[in-house]
This record gives sequence, structure tokens and C-alpha cells, in this order.
Amino acid sequence: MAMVTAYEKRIVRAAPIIRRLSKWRAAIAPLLFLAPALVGLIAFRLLPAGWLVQQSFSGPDGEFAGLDNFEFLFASPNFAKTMQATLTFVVVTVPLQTVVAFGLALLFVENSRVISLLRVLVFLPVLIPSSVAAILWGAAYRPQGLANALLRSVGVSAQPFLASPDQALMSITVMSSWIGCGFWMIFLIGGLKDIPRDLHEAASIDGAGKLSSLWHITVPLMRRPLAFVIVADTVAAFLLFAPIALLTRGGPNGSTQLIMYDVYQQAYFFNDLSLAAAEGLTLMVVMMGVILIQFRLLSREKQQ
Amino acid sequence: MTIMEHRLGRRGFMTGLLGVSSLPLLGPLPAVAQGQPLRFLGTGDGKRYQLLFAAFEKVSGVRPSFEGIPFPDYQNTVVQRFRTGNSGIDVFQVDPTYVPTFAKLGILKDLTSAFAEKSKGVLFPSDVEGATYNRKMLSLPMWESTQLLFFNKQLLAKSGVEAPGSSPDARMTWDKVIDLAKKAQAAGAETGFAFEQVDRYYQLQILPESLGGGPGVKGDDLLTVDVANDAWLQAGKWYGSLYADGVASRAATGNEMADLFKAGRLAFLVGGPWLIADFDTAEGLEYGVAPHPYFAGGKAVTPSESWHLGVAAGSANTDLALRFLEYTCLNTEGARASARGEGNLSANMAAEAEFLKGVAQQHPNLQGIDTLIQYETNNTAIRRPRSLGYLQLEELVTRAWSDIRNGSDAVQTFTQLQSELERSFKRIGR
Repeated sequence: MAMVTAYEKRIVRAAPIIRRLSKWRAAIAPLLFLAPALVGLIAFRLLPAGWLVQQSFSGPDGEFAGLDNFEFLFASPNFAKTMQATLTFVVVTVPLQTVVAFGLALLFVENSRVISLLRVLVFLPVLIPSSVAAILWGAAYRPQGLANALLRSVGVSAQPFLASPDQALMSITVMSSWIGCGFWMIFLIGGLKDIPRDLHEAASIDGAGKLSSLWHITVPLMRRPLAFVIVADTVAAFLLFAPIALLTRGGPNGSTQLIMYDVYQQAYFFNDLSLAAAEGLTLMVVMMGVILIQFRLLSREKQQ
Repeated sequence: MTIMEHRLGRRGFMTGLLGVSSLPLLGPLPAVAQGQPLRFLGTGDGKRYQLLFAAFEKVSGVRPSFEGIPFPDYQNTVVQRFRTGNSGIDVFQVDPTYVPTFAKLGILKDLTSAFAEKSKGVLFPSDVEGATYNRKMLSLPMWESTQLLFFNKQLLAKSGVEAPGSSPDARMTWDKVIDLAKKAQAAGAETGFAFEQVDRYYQLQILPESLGGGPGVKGDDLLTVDVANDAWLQAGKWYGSLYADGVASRAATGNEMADLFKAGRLAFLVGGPWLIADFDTAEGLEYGVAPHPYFAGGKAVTPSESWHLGVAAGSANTDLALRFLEYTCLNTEGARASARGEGNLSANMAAEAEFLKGVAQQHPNLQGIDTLIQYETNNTAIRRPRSLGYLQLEELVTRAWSDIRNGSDAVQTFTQLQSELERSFKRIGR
């Protein structure tokens, strides 16, 4: 009898421990699941970002240098030129790629064998590493290359493309759009497929034409995927690097000196890590500013 | 049955374990896997070092292991490797213009006591001088270089132009060469003239230097920028005019120039002696060499220098590394093996004399090339500046030449370059 009581007591005493343990477990389980992602986030995102901020305020020997690096950067005519080239590239590339990708998505949203094949063909450039794409386009842009052969066949005179300060940046835009449009198209097709069919059917019963149905139904309902594409494309455009490093190295006349290549050059060619960090931080701030504006504009439309 | 369907049974697992654990019984693994005896970092795929490594193995019993980096990424890879602490390098190729930067970063072992005396009378004095910074010898010169004027005999004959001679006395002015190039072009040559290394500082430093304009930097520490003087502007205008006139082509860059010459489509090419081996593989190409041109009223100058070897400051294999350097650069046999790999000139005087004699004997077309190269190395060779700002100078000057080639105004480009470099140099003086 005494043994039974002791046994029962033990059980009674054990219960809160188990409850506490299970509470602990309930808290730790999600943490454990999140741990790899959190470790990755801290190691590969937060720590480098912190290091970037610290470097950008440091002198050549790691000492605190206040705003010296930023003063040097903002007083530099080359940096102004770099920012100008980068912003021009972003302002031209993002709307162009978004509009083309949206058009392609509308064309290729239906499922049929031919359309699926065409969709794959448009998406195919995404699978090519950007360095390989850059080399291919570099060959096409040569004076005796494919691009000029095509132009000549339609009676247009040969163009200098990457060798001309006026055409180089646009040539890079065309090249990156060749890759980008197919990629963004896939996201937009996903968005288009989410639009309920009956909305279009109702509109057509009400007598809406294709254009007005596109404008009043498709575009408003595509705001979310479009917002994603615009923001992600903006980031991609700001960070463009491989074609510049491989094809133009910032030239001719600094016309393609985009900021990522400039950061790379400062850090790894001139060994000026603190200046590169200051430039990187500036890029981050500018990029966040642009994205914030985009978010605001897109969400304001939503409220209307 | 697919691979996925195959399940490893207990017996299979045990057999595998036994197999793997008994591998050491097969005997010692090759030296490469055992911790590297001598780790060598260089450019390219390392083929050009195979002769040297084999020769060194014979005398020392050690075969160095090679790690290759593509040439355009080489310098910054070296810096990054040392910056991360353990570089994993014992010996590495050193572009001597980077000696000041490498010295500042403390990545080169001081070789003064080991080689300063021993190099005297063995290596070209100008190369030894180039390896010395702040009175310390920090690298050991391995190869030398010069530039020659190659010409296509058939294209010149077609235009009725007499082939130039190879004697240093027969040196032509730039005006003369471009005039002949235009004639050859009129008679059917696709391109009249080209530099092998389009836009590069190494190749084009001689243009302002021939006019007395200096290397682009001056002062005791070579940190005062001087790229907008009259000679630089004149040289820039001349360079731009070659491409504006169409006698040189804007289209091809880099190695494509040598290929154009090899294909018999280019009349004149200024390039290095290493091209000879490549040109010899082209069927039906008849070519000759002439002295490097100069500006009328100016000096005859030629590019020089090539790779040196350095020992990593933190190397645990210093003795072996020094032995390797001594064999490669100071020992005639080693120097011969090292230079022969790709037809490089040697910084070792005895090895170079021997090599040049061989080239002249093997190439009936290139009579007098040995005398010419020896003359250039001894009399007209100039070095690139040993400045802490060389990284910036090389990159930005190369970019400026490129802009001028693409049609930018030389005066404007070099004036901008002056202020750009001045700003850039301020970061070095900090």
C-alpha cells in the first residue's frame, strides 16, 4: 500500500516536469526548425552587413575615420558618373523588362503544345549562366558579329554597339533583358492564372472588349505579382555585374561603369576596402529608397 | 534496376569499410596528396612550368605542385589569398610593378641576403634593380621581355614595299611604319597595323616615353601624377588617329591581333618574341622582324620586364623555396628549362644568349633577331614605374587608351585622367 502511494506520488510530482518539458519543447521545436535559416541569415546577411557598415567608417588601418570615406566618395566626379550610369540603367531596364515580360505572359498564359514550347524557348536564356550569356552577346555585338549581320540584312548600317559610349549601356540593357524577360514572365504567368476566369466572362457579358477587360480586370488584379517583379527586377538591375566585368569593364568613356563593378574594382583592384564598403552602403541606401518609393506607389494604387 | 533501388546490405557495407580502411596498405600516396612539398602559385594552366618542374625534381627530388589562376584575376587573387591569413603558397609569380604594393602588405620575404650578391653578373642589372624596393631585394627576376615589329612579307611584297631590315640601325619612325601599313592596306591587307596588347600600359608606355613624356608619374616616390603633359597628349592624338584613319582596327582586341597576323590579314604587328612559336604553326605565313619603331625627333625605347618569382613571407618551406628560386633564376640549366616552356626570354644573361642563338638558327627568316633582341634589352629597354600607385596608374591609363581608341578626344581624356589619378592617389598617401 505504502509502495503504491509512493508510486502515485512520483507520478503526481512528475507531471509538472513533463508539462514544463513539453512547453519547452513547444518553444524549442520551431526554433530548431528555423535554426539553419537563422544561422544562415546571421552569418551570410547580418554579419557581413555589419562588417560593411563598420568598414565604411574605417581608415586604411582599420581606425575610425568618421565620414571621410563618404566625403571622398561624394566629392568624386567619377562616383557621380557611376551613379548616373547606374540610375539610367535601372530607369530604362526595369520598365522595359516589366512591360515586355507582361506582354509575353499575356501571350503565353494559355496551355497548348505550341505555346508551352514557345514559353520554354523564351525562358531558356535564364538557364544559361550570366557569364556565358555575356560572352555570347559579346560575340554577337562585334563589328562583324551576328547583330550587325542581322541589321545589314534589313538595310541598316553596321553599329558599334559596345565600342560606342552612346550605345554600350543600351546594348547591355538589351542583353540583360534577353535573360530577364523570360524569367519575370514566369512569375507573371503565375499571377495571371490566379485571376478567376468568371471575372473575364462576366466582363464580356457586360460588353467589355479585350482591351478594357485587360485594363479594368487583369492589370488591377496583377498588382501583387507586378509589384514583386518590379522590386526584384530593380534589385537585379542595381546589382548587375557579370556582363560589365566581362565585356566593357566600365568603358567606353565610363558609360557602363555601373556601381557593382565600381565596388568590385575599388575592393579587389585598388585594395581600397573602406571606400568600396562606403560605396556598397550608399548603394544599399539608394536601393532601399527606390524600393520604398515603389512599394508606396504600388500600395497607394491599391487603396484607390 | 535504377541506382535508387539498390540498397546497401550489411555485407556490402562491411566490405566497403574494409576496402576503404585498407587503402593505406597499397603504399604511400603520391606526394601531392600528402601535404604539399612546395606550393607554386602562377598564371594559366601551368603547362609552361612542366619542363622546369621536371628539371627541379631531378636535382632536388621534389616536384613542386602548381596552382593556376587566370591572368586577369591573378594580382587581386594573390592579395586576397594573403589577406585571409594562411595563403597556402610558398612560391609565386610576381609582376615586379606590384613589388611596392606587396611590400606594403608584407607578403614578400626579403631576399636581399640570399640573392643580392649572387645575382650580380648573372641576371640583367636592370631586372635586379626592378626587383629592389627601398633597398631590399624582394623578388628574383625569372623572365625578360621585349617588343618587336613583326611584318607579313607577302602583304608587303604585294604593295611593292621593300621588307624592312632587322638591324637596330634600320629602325623606322612611327610615321614611316604607318605609311607602309597604309600602302599594304591599299594593296589588299585587311588591317595595316596593330599592337598585340591593345590599350595595355605595358605596351603603350613607350609612346609618351619616346617623346620624353615620362611614365605618367614623377617625384621621389613616383606618386605625382603626370599624364597630361605635351608628350602624353601628342602620343594620345597619334594613337587615336590610327583607329580613326582605319589603319588599325577598333574591332579586334586582346589576343585577336596575333590571330589576325597569323591568318595573314595584318601587315604590321608590334608584339613579343613569344609569338614566334605560335606564328611558326601557321602554314604559308612568311614574316620577318624589324626593330620597334620610335617617334621622329624622340628616343627609341622598348617595353621590357616580365615575371619575377617571390617567396611568401609566411612560408613554412622557406629553404626549399629559396633553393627553387636559385635553380630557376640563377642556375643556367634551370633558367633554360624555365624560359623554354613558352619561348620566353630569360632574365638570366647566359640562358638568354643561348636561347637567342637557338632562335636565330632555327628560323632562317629571322636572321639577326638575336642581335636585335640583345641590343634592345641592353640599350632601349625601359621599365614600368615602381610606384605604390601602379595599380591605379595601370588600370586607369589602360582605360584612357581604350577610350581614345574608341574615338574620345585625347586631350580631354588625358586631362580628365590627370585629375582622376590625382584623386585616386590621395587614397594611397593616407
